[in-house]
Amino acid sequence: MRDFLEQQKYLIDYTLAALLRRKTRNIGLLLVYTLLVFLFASTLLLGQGLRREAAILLQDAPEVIVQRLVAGRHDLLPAAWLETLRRIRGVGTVQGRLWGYYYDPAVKANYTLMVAPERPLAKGEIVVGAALARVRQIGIGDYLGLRAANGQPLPLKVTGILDTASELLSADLLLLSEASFRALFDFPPDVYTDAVLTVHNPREARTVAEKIVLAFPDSRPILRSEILRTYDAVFNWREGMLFVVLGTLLLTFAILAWDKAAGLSAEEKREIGILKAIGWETGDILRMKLWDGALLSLTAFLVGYTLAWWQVFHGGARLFMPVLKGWAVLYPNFQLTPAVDGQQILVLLAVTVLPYIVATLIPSWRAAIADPDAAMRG
Amino acid sequence: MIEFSVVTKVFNQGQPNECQALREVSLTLERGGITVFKGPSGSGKTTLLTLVGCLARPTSGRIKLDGRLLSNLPERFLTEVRRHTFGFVFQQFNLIRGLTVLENVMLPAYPLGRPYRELSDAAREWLDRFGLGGKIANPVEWLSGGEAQRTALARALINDPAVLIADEPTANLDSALSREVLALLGELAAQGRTVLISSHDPLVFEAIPVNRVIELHDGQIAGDRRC
Repeated sequence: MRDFLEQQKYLIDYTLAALLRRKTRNIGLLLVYTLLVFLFASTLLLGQGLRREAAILLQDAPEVIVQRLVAGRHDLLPAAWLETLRRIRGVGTVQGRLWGYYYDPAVKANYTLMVAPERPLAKGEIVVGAALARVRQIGIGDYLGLRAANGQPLPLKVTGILDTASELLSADLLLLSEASFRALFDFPPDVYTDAVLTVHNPREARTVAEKIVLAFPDSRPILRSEILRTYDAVFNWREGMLFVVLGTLLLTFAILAWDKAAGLSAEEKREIGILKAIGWETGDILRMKLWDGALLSLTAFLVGYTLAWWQVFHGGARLFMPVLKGWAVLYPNFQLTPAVDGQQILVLLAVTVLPYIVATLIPSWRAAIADPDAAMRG
Repeated sequence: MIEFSVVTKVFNQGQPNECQALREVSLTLERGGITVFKGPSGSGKTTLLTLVGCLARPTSGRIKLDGRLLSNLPERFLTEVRRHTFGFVFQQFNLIRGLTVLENVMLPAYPLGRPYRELSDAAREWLDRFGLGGKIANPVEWLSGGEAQRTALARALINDPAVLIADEPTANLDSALSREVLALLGELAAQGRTVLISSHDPLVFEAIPVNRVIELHDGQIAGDRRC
């Protein structure tokens, strides 16, 4: 055992010396490799972080949302539906919601307007999301002028800014009173945008949804799990797009690595011949090359992954956020919860480290199984 | 004792550039003393030494070391024999650039996993003996031809082999340096090691007490003289 450890120490020593001998080439390779791992890991960590964040936030979301459909499109929901919904067995609370979008040409962005019953506001008062406040450069006490559905300007006074901790959901949010909302969009008093339901037993949410469809054939109940799935699909799609781009990079790197490894230089082949001639066996050469590949690729992996982890969880993920986070102009500004996923690390290791080590080993093995007499001939 | 029975070595067999380097060579090399293989370039000296030292396998024929058949041993066992029985000094020195003199000398023992202190002490001892004690930390690129050849000699001896094989050891050295290296080979033979040298340098015969001269021509033994 001691001999084995001593042997590995010698092999590492030799490998490090060999790597340093081809300093420029290996540092270049290490940089490209690290960048590649960094890009891949950033995408994976960010996609997973966003999915996790969305899941955490949606934990408090209502179990069922009920919309009314007309010709397959979302329509306003009559207030009379609320009472019928309340009477369905298994349904807890029912609440009509008022919300919508408002396009602000001044900043070319959509705001999400919402009436929040848990935050009562007087007519003409609003509370805005942090990103919205940033973009419009408004603060508490300022007025925000929106154009109402009848074409008249509607001045609204900012009485609060939403907490930055909830910015993922509230970045572009504008909370207003029911009266202001109905005035702005010219909503009749007996309709809501949709309704949210709680159910006594969350496992019965699907059954409750079926009963709702029976009661209102033109309704469309949406379960929380379906929203989660949609988020997942959206992030997966975006992640997929990024992977297509990164795939090209990976391919380029694979070619580079293969070229580096497959094209053992005459000097490297000669070195292998000398080592064999002076008493190294094929296994020793392969172990040395294994260290060579492992040292380079694991260094690149560790540095790349650590940098990616840092930039995603502490650096605001500036690099990929615009691609993965959404299409809005008002990007939320928030911190993802730091997390390390063992399975994800294994996947990354499998796609970045393993191919490199194999690409290093195969040509060395080919050179090492040849008779070492070429070394004798100089 | 090394025995060759009807050994033939063909390079690039079956190809247009096929070359028969050794033709049905049979000979016996006893332990101890200095044996010199002489002959013009292309006569098969280096090929014969590569076969003796298990650096290559014969195309046909049998090679035995102390009665043990080497020619059909798997690579792993062949390396084992090579590692413990033979030390090589190459014509081009074949030191690994970028490593220090000490590291180059220690290199053959790396796979054995000998404790570092013990190994480096042994390497220093050989280097001191060959007058290179002050250069152990230098990269080998800084060495003169004679120093490089002495470093190669120390490397060949680090695993304490019974047989030292030197292929044209004076080919890249001037007369003074050649004498220096040959004197060291003579000393090693005097201590009981078997020294096999390939050379066509007449200085070899003047400088050291050669016990046997085997002359090769076109891959065959053209003369065998005991001195």
